[in-house]
Amino acid sequence: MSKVVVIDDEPFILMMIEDKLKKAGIHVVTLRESRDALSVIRREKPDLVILDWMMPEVSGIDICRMVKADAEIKETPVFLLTAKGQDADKQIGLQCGASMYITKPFSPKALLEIVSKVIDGK
Amino acid sequence: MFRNKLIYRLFLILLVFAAASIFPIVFATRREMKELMEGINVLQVREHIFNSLITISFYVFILAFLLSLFFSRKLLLPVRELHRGAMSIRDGKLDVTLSPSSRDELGEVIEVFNEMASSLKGKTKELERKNREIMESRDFLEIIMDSIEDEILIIDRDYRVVRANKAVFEKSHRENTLGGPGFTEGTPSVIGEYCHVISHKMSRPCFLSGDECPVKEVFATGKTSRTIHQHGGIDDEQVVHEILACPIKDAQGNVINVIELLRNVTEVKLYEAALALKNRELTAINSIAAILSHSLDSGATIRNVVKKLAAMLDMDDGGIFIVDKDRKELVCSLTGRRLPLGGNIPSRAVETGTLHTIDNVGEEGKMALPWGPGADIRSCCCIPLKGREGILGSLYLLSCRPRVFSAEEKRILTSVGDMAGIALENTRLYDRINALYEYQRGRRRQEHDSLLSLSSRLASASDIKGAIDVALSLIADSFKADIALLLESDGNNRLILRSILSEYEDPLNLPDNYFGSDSVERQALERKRPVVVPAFSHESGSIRPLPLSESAVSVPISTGEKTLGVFSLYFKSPREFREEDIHFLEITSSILAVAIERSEFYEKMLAEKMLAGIVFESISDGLYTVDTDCVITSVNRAAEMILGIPAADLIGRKCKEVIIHKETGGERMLCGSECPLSSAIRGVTSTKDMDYIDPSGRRISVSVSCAPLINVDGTLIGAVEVFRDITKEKEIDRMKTEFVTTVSHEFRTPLSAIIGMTEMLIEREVDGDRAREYIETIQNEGKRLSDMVSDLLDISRIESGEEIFREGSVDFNEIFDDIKKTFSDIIGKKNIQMETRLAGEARGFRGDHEKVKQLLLNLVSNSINYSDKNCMIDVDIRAEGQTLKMEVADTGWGIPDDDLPLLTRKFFRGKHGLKTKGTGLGLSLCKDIAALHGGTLRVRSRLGRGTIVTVDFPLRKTENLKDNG
Repeated sequence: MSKVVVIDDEPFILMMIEDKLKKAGIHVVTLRESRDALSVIRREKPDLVILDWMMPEVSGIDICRMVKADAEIKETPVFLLTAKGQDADKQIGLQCGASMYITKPFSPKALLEIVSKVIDGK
Repeated sequence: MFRNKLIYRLFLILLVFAAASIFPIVFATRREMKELMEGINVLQVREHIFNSLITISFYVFILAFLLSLFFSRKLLLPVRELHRGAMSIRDGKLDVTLSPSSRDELGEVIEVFNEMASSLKGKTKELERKNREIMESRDFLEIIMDSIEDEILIIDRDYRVVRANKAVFEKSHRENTLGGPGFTEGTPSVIGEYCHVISHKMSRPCFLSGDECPVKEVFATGKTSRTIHQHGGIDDEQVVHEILACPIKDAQGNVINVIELLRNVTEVKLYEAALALKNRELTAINSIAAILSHSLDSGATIRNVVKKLAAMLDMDDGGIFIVDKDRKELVCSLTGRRLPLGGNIPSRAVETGTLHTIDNVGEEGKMALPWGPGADIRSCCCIPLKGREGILGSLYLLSCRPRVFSAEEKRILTSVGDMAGIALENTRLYDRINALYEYQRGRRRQEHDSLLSLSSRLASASDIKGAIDVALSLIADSFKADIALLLESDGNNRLILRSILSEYEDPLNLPDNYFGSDSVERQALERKRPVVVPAFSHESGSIRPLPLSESAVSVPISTGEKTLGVFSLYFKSPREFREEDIHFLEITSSILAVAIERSEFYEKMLAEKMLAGIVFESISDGLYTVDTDCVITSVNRAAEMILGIPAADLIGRKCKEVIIHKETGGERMLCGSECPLSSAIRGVTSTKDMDYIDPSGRRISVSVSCAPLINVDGTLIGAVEVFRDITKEKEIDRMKTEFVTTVSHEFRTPLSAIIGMTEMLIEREVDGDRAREYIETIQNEGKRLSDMVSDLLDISRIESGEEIFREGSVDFNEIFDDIKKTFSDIIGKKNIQMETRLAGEARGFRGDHEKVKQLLLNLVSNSINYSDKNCMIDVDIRAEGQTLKMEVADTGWGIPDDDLPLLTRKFFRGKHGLKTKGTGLGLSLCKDIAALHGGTLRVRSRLGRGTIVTVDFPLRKTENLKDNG
């Protein structure tokens, strides 16, 4: 069973993604406190990480960087799911090692398609 | 083998001989022995043997003899051949070849002999050839020696002549033992005679007389020696010989003979002596010529010439007499003494133009000399000084001894006289020219000084009227004029009196139309050149004089074709004007014209410049100019203000040192083609937005326009940059962009809930309680969006000044009620203790009730949302002096220090934002509402302890509210 870790400070985003992915048979681990992100990812060893960018304490970009710098989990694909929709932001996100940059508002259906594709391709 | 060696032949003969003798003996003996055996007695046998032996011996002897003969002949034949050959060589016939008869040792001897003969023949031929060559070279040497015209002697160690050439025999008239040419029979021979007798015609060697003998020297040193000897020739004639003596050495290097070559150089020496004499003459004349040509001071020249001549000719004294103007007397230029022309020796030299000398004067003759009997003069000479137009005087030299003047000295003296005459004439000419030159120079200096003074006065004068007065007085002084006046042409052909200077006390009171067509001034103006009236009384009446004047000069003042006016000088007596006076006046007029025109131009320029300056300083955009090296040349006031740098700190500095041009918002310097100022210096006008970085590092956004500065003559002298400070506009632009970005970002999150969740609801992916939860979230997020929009609208209305301030009394009690009503649910749920206090003085506060209510609702809402259960909220409104203080305090979570300064920023959600919902606009709106009332908002907080928000309003009463609008 595939596993996805979703980190966002908005609970309804977590709820929505969790509902959508669970239905597709994907085990979802959600997290609101971004400061615990790295330890959770290291513990869970998911197939994919979906991160919000703008979070208090530790930003999604920093988490992405940390994941990519960690030898153990650096191969894990990371999606950035953020309200920052400018091209410059997208550039920064992809430079940090994110495999996909998805802007809010988003379609849960489309998200599931991309997630499935990444998990199946793995 | 037997044919090659004699011994083998002899051995062969012996063998034959032995065979011939022994075999018969052996046979005979055997036969006898046989017979003996058969019964013959021994005696018979012996006899038989004996008889046989004799016979055999006889034959053997014969055989031996014949063989000997044969071999002897064989040996004798080659020996004879050798003998014949040797005999013919002895007779000198070397062309002999012997035929070898055998191949034995004798045959070899003959072959060797043949080789010897042939070699001898070759050697003899070589010897003969060499001998012939030696003979030929010896003959050739003899010919060479005899061909040389110089005398050549070969001398041995006894100084005797061993050999001599033809020249020696011819010149000595002695016998030539060799019988060659020059032979004189009966005279003693040259050969064997002492060399000094032959070459020097002297009885004893020259070194005994103290002369150096080259022959002796060569024997002593072994080296070549050269010398010149003078000695008596035939008939006691003095002969000069140039002698060259060279050693002849044997194989060991010992000098065995000396070859002496004597060349007669008598004629050359005589020629050289004549040349030296000529040279001395020339040197004397040259040195005197140098004295004459070097000095233009006639007195010094004459003194030097006399001194030089006296020293050269060994005379005691000398001097010069010059013919006076009337040609009656001679004047001594050194002593001033005068002599009548005629009778005396100096006069004679002057009259005849020839050199006069007295070698030895007697006592009587002394009387005839002009120097008197007192002077003990024994010899003298007087040289005429010839000029181009006759004799100028006479130069004399005196001596107290008798003295004979040689022809050479006389020639020198005559030449010196000619030269001194011309020099004297030249000196006089020079003096005349010099005097003339000094006069002209003095005059030029005077004119120059006048012009200089005039120019400097005109150039330095700021008031042209005053300058013209001064100029006129200078001209009048220079010419000592009684009246000087300057008239200006007004362009309508009328002359207006501009300035007048008069020596007379009474003013002239000339009417305006005084200078009509009959005036000097008008005529000068029409002719466009100076008009001179030396005497009015001599004029035919066509020119009207000025009162009290007798002569006048009038000069037009013009530049190119344009005539500006005229100036005149009047004199009360007749006056002549020289050409240089007129010329001087014309120059003066030109200077005046330039000065007048310049001053007019200057005034015009000044007015234009003033206007340009006013415009320059008045425009609100910054403006500065640079030269072609980008050095700032001027800055206007607006530029000083915008840049915040005084003009003094900008002018004279390179533009890039003080005003750095960078791209808008970036760090890249704008240089080369990107810099509009550089482009303008290259003649290209351009406009660009950029940032200035001033020396303090401050960035100013500007919109820049640059254009080249082009001089009137078309040359590019720099560029001008006009700039407008667009920092504020840029900031507003930036803020707008940032705001839009932030708003769009903040809107995206609630929209995610609405779009995502509705999608899932439509797809029926959730149901039951979960679906309800989704719908509630959609509603909440929708409300949040709506709150954001209304807050944003409120803020934007307040910030843009569009918000209508609904003035009125603020009923805080009503607000408190509304607050309690609004938050009653949550207050109950969280068990919050809320207290409200309103001080009496605050009741009169006037403001916008709705806004104040919104403010307090926001603050209380924050306190409720950012706190746990059972917290306390205290709302206190009181007046302190002229300030109304609203304080909302809580015992909630408190705010981290990092977040405090950012609280009023739009959309800012602090660390606690995670736990609660919000737009991030509440406090920003509160601050704007406070500001709308002229108040301020402050937040104090400690994490974990609580927060106090204080809003200070100026206490508004009805009256001062009106004042503040």
